[in-house]
Parts: sequence; C-alpha cells; structure tokens
Amino acid sequence: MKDSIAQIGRSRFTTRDLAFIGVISSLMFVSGFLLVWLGHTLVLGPGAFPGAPLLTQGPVYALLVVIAAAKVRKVGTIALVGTIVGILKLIVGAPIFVVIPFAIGMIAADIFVWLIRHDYCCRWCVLPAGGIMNTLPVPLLFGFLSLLGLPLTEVVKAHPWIAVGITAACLPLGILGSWLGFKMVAELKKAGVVE
Amino acid sequence: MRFAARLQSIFTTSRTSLIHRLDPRVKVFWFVTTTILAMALQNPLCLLILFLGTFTYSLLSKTVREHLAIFKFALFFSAVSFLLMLTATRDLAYLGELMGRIFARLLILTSAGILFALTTSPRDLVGMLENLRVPRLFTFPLTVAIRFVPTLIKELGEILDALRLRGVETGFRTLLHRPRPVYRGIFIPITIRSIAISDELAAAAETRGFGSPVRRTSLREERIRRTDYVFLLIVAFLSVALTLSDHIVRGGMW
Repeated sequence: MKDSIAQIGRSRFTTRDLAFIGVISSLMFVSGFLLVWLGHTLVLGPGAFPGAPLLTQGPVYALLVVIAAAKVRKVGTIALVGTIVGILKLIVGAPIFVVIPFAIGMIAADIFVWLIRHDYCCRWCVLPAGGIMNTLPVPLLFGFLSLLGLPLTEVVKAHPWIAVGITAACLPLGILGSWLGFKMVAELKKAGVVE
Repeated sequence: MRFAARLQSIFTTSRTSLIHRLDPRVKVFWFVTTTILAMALQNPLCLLILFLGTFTYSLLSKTVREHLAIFKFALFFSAVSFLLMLTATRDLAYLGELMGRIFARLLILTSAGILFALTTSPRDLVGMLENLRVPRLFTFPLTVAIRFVPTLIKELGEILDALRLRGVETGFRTLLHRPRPVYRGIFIPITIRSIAISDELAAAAETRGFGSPVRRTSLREERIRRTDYVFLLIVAFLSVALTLSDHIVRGGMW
C-alpha cells in the first residue's frame, strides 16, 4: 500500500489519502461533540458567546489537522477535513452559522500554506496554519450573527471585551495544538507510521 | 462510555418505519426547513409548535428513546449554562427572555439533526449525494467518516481497557490531573490504529474498483414515491402556516 495507484478524478488525492482524511474527520467529530458542549458550558454558556467552544476544541482540532496534513502532505487537506467535519456537524444539528465560519477558517489555513508555497513540511507553515484555523472563525461568527440579526448579538454587544478576549485566546491555543501535533508527528515518524 | 454508546446509536441506523423508508431527499427538505424555521421564528409559541413537530417525527420514526437520551444530555448542559449565566448576570427576566429563545432554537436544531441522522442510514445519505452528482472527493471521506464513528468508539474502548489492565486510572478527573497518559496512552495508539485502519480501507476500496472513471451503479435505485410527496406537502403546509402565524402574532407587514 506504499504507492496507491487509483486517483479520484482529476484530484491529486489518492484513495489512501481520502480514507485517512475520512478517519481524521471522524476523530475530530467525536472529540468535538463533547468538547463543544464543554466549551459552551464551562466557559460562558451556550449561544451567549459563540466562539467559546473554540477554546476547548481548538487545540485538539489543530493537533489532529496537523497529523492529517503531515500524513497526506497535500495542500487542500485541511479544507477537505473542514468540509467533511462541517457536514457531519450539520447532520447532528449544529447551526449553519456556526459551521460555515469553522469551515472557512480551515480553508483559509490551507490558502495560507498554498500562498507561502509549503506543503505542511515544517513548523513555519504548520504553526501559523493552526493559529489561523482556530482564530479566524471567531470574528467571522460574530460577523455572521450581526448580519443575520440574531438575538445573540445583544449579548455580544453588551460584553464586547469578552468577544475580543476569546479571539485573542484562540490564537495561542491553535498554535499550541499545532505544536503538540507537530511533536506527535515527529514521534510517529520515528515509529515509521508517517513517512 | 454511555455517551459513546449514545453517539454510536446515531450512526448505526438499522430500523424500519414510515420515516426510515422515506426518500433521503425528502428528509433533507424537512431538516433544512426545520433549521431555517428555528432561526427565523421569533414567537415562543411558534417555536414550541416547531419543537412538537420534531417530536412527532421522532414518534413516527420510533426513535423516541434515542432522541430523549440525547435530548436529556443537551437539556442538562443547557440547564448548567443557564445557572452559570444567572450567577453572572443575576437578571432572571433578561435571561428568561433572551436565553429561553436561544435554548429553544438550540434544542430544535439539535433534535432535527439527530433525528435526521437516526432515520437516514449512511448508505442512503451517500447514495443521495452521489445521485446529486457530488464529487467522490467529498462522498468517499464522508462515508468513511460516518462509518468510522462506531469503529472509533470501539477502538477507544479497547485502548482504555488496555490502560486499565496496566493499572492506569482512566477516569475523567485523573485524565485532567495527569494529562501524560492521555497523550502517551490514548492519542498515540488511536492515531496509529487510525492510520492502519485507513490503509486497510483504502486497499479494500481499490480492490473493489473505487476510483475508476466509470459511474457506479446501485442495486437499489432511489425514487420519490407517493408517501414522499404526501410528507413533503405536509411539511411545506405546516412551514407556511407557522411562518404566517409568527408574522401575525408579531403584527408583521408583508
């Protein structure tokens, strides 16, 4: 199975890559299911501050995404993982205005790696990518809520400093998750699991 | 592992009922309509009627037990959050007005999603996506992700059992105080197992001709039948009625 022959249509992803992306998406979904609730409940309360779950799920997501990217080593991996996890979240009832910013954050991380012409090869592309995918969804989420005119924005308007605090806290947490993922990939390389 | 078993039940649909037999496209229509209405409706009574609608769906699909189990889980976290917010703001009227609607929406959205997942098998879902000409680049990982959830939960249980056999405490509190076993004992083994399983899965898929440029055929062709049209009409009628009632109650203008 070292060299997978079949490729999917005109995409560069092999069957092996897609299977691994599916498995990592599943891992993210299962861990996220509990972490989102923990984030909402332990941090600030559901709906009131919608970025709160990223404080708990962000580092774990960044860790898993780095493993997926290091194994597949193709630009587009994070965007694909984000889309699959987004669809899974929608299936179990996550609001669409939460899922779209989450997926956009992951697509933006991929675009960043593509722009700097890397392929998840070193910490200089992996760490900022983790930061972007965890931070960008927060302002996007608040923007979405304002755009839709949902009542949640009243709470956000009343306590804007907490929204800024959550955004600021998401960046180091995303980078921390990526760094842990990077360390884990090094161990997996030593074990011969990742090439 | 009770939580894991409940999550697993969402992805192992094997029952048959009137709702299970409906075309997945019709169920997607119900799911999307409920989601839009949950966000658009403002009147608490209309939101309650919408919630009762999801409960009727649950009754018809004979998934009340699973629905209630996950619903109780959501309700528990909502109650804890409400208490936390109450201690922070000390304004019951404000919280009741604002958070009541937010909780109602969240519970409807969660119910609709879970009921859709409980009544639609992953095979039907992927079949529907393929019928809608969604590229395999998305359908294959999605199928793997849905199918892998029960496997992952089983693998996780086995890893935790292995840790316990070695005398490592695996309780939530212990894992929070001593995170090293989580990393060494859980994260690394589950990643290595995931890589092994995905490699086996890819090999199996390739031997069955996956990735060939020819369009796949299916033994069971999906067709919209009379019951699907009836369900579609009922959902459309109720949605219009609820939207109108919400506007009338609010004194809205057209």
